[in-house]
Amino acid sequence: MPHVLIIDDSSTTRLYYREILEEAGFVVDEAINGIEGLEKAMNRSFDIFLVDLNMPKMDGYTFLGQIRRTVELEAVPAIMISTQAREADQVKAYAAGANLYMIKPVHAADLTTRSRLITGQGASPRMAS
Amino acid sequence: MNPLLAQFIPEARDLLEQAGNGMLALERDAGSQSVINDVFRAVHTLKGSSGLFDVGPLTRLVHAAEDLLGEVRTGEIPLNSDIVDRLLDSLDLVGRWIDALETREALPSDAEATMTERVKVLRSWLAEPSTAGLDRATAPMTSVVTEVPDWLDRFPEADRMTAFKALSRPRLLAWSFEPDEDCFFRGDDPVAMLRHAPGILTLRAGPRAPFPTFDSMDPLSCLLRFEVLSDTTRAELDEHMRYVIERVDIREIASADLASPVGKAAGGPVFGDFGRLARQHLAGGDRTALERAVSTLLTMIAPASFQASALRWVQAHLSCHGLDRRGDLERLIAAVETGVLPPRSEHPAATSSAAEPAPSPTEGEAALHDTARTIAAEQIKVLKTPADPALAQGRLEAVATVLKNLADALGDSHMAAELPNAVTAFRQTGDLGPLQALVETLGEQRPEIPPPDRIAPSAAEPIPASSKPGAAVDEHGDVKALPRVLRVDQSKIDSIMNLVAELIVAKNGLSYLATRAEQVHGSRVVAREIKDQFAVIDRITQGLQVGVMAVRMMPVSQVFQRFPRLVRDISRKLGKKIELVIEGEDTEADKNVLESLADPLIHMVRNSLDHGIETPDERKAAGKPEQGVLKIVARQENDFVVIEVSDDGKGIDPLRVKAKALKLGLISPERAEQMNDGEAINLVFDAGLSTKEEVSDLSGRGVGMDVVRSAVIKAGGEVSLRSTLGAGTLVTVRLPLTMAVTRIVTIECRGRIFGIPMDHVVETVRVKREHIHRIKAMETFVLRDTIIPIARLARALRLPEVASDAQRDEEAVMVVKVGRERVGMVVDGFRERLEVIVKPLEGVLEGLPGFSGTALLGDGQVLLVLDLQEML
Repeated sequence: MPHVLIIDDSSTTRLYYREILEEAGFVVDEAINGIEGLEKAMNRSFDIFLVDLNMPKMDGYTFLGQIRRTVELEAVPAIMISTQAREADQVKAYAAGANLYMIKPVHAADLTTRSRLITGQGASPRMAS
Repeated sequence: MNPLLAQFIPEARDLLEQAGNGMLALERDAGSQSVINDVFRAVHTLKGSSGLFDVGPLTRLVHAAEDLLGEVRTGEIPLNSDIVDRLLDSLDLVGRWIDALETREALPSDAEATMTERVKVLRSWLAEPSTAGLDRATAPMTSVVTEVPDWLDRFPEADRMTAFKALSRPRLLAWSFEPDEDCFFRGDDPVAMLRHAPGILTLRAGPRAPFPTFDSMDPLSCLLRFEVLSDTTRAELDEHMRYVIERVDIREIASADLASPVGKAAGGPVFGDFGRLARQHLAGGDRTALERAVSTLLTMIAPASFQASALRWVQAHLSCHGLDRRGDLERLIAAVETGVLPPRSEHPAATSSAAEPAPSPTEGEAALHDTARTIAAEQIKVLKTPADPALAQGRLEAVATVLKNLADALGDSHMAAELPNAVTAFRQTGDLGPLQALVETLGEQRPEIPPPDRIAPSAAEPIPASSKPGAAVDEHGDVKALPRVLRVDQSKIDSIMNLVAELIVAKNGLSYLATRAEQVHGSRVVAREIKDQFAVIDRITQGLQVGVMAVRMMPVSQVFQRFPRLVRDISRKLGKKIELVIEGEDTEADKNVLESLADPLIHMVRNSLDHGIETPDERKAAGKPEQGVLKIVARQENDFVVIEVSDDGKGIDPLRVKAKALKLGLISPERAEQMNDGEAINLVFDAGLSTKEEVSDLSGRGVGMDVVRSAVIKAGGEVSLRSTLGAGTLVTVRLPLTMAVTRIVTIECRGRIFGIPMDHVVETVRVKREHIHRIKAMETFVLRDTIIPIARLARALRLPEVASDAQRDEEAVMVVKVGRERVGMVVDGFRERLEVIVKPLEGVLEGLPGFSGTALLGDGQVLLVLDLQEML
């Protein structure tokens, strides 16, 4: 099962993603800011990161920059999700190392399809077996 | 209450409190950037998470507060106590709305009106007060207008036709968007908003009214109007545009509404003839003939004419839907005949539901391909975005991962094969060309769409018996939806599993009852009847257990699939050449067992890569091939799943391990003396022992084989290690297929009952006293030509010797398997076999050596289960 790490300071948002992604067959872990995210990322391997932009202590850009500088984590795909819909925000996210930029609120189907594709899986979630 | 809302309410209160306290602190010290940042972020987070609920007024009020705080933060607007008051007021109001959400799960009915008024006040401080959209903001959000907008025909025919062909459902949304003139001042980017809108088919942008003359035009006000066709649902679009919903006009139309021919009508008898002929073909269901008639006529008439346009729409209908949409085809044929498109007669809903089949898997697949291509195109964009050189390399690796995964997801083997070269080309020369070319053809070598009979449940051909749930993967690695599969929440299965486990234990109570009936109440008849009944219940519970277990089984490939990537990355980092061989991926085990296996396996693989397999130079020097082999094998053995991780690396040096353990005081010098190589090697399972002098940054995070061992033991399994110096290492993990129920054998020793896990038991024998021999200090006996050492359980447990021991002329010996050794254990007597739930030792019993857990027996007694590995 693919592992996803959700990094967002809002517990509601984390729960929202968790429910969607667990439904889609992911094993979910959470972190409340970039620092906790890095700690978790160093201690178990993930297949994808979902990163919020604005967070206390360490924001999403810094988190992305850190993982892309760390050999063990550099190749893990990352989606940045933010409420900011400006083109400049997307450019900044891509410069920091994001692979995709999505705007909040994210639709369940979009998140599922994109996360599954980015982790190399087909359309329908594997049946609970 | 919806759990998401239940989560949101306390979070919102928390954020409001943070923001409120921050505001008060700001009033005292307006210059504190960190406080204003905290306040801004709290409000920003609140806006973001409120967007998940249907609380539009709340979101918009918080949004206005955020905008104002943003200006304060950048210093555009100086903070004064008036602003602080208004913001605090608004936050209080939001707090009351949160209370209302908690009690009624809805905002108060006057929320919309109150919000409008508050937003007006908050925005009055912003650079250009915006009130333009507010009158319309009170209009109900969900009014569905089905009238076809007059601007639809302004889309070029080609665009409408592309949209028509790309549609995944019979209806679509035609909507227009006129951004607020001041939107640029509020940090909105209408283009980005549109770019991320769901399901865009085509889009037009233009001035909403003729542009003013050049001198009087204000380049900073947005005068644009967008017209968009989207293949999405009303709800999704509403949600995406919720912050500007008052500036959007959404109409739901039928796909047939797109088919509106344009051009100047031509005249002539030829069209009448075509009409008669076409209707004949249509009535006869002859699609080929109709297509031929259409294309013939098309070659003869002016392409810009109304009729040519109508004919092209007939073609589009035929190629997308065949003859299914008869009503629409007849209208178009009439349009060719008369030069005018007749109005749609049927009720729109009737056409869509009756004539339109549900989207087939093929269409779903097409949408998936499109999304994959969009993601791939974004990767090119990522690479084109300049980045700090320190992270550019990492970013390229991440892009490569994404592209590889997309190729895997679509089964595009061409892309998967060519990708490494294209990535190297970019890394070395900065040439994006090869990558771009691959991305553009992503999925074109897509696998054959499986014929419908593989998908449809009504297929005549049954699904092969071998297709297990986990095996629903075709030869391209695509996961296909199986028919008639239930998706069930795992917790439901878990609770059934727990009940089954309880049932099995409760069932054991029946055999005690039978014994009591016979011995205490003297009724053999009742005892036998109970036993008969027990047999029936036993059979049913076993069936139930097997059934529930089967539901929870998953193939180990779920855990293995991450290894190719892990091995590639780590070996690249270490400069080692390693071939990964995986066997037995289809082996199935309980989901929980697999999850407990994931982390230990990663440690084991990392150990092999890091400490086991040598660098190419070392290997050459040792006369081995440069490329090392790491093998991961899974197989099922009875009730166990066995996983072996082996490498052909340098192996473990028993002398070094021994020396290290001695140095660290883990073993005594005497013990070191006695130890054979196999025992010495197994010292690596001790906590705090690492044979590599310097700690590597890969496996040296303070976790090692001791962690592997404790994780495996916790899951009820065992791990063993064999290693030949210079030739390689083999780690074997045996895990029970399920963790729920353990089969044990009970034995008696000094009047007490103990349990031994069934899988350790080889056989039970009675050995005559004279057949027990002493070899040095050890008692042994011969079982079928094999010398088996004897251990006395009473002694091992330090139970008192009794006089009768010496007088018995026969010993009850249970032959058990510990690791790969066999030991004969002398006990006082054998008792029955049981199925129990073994619970770990807890409370005062925790850490008690020699026991692996406790189990509750049918008569209420607690049974101690022996940990043979530790005891013998």
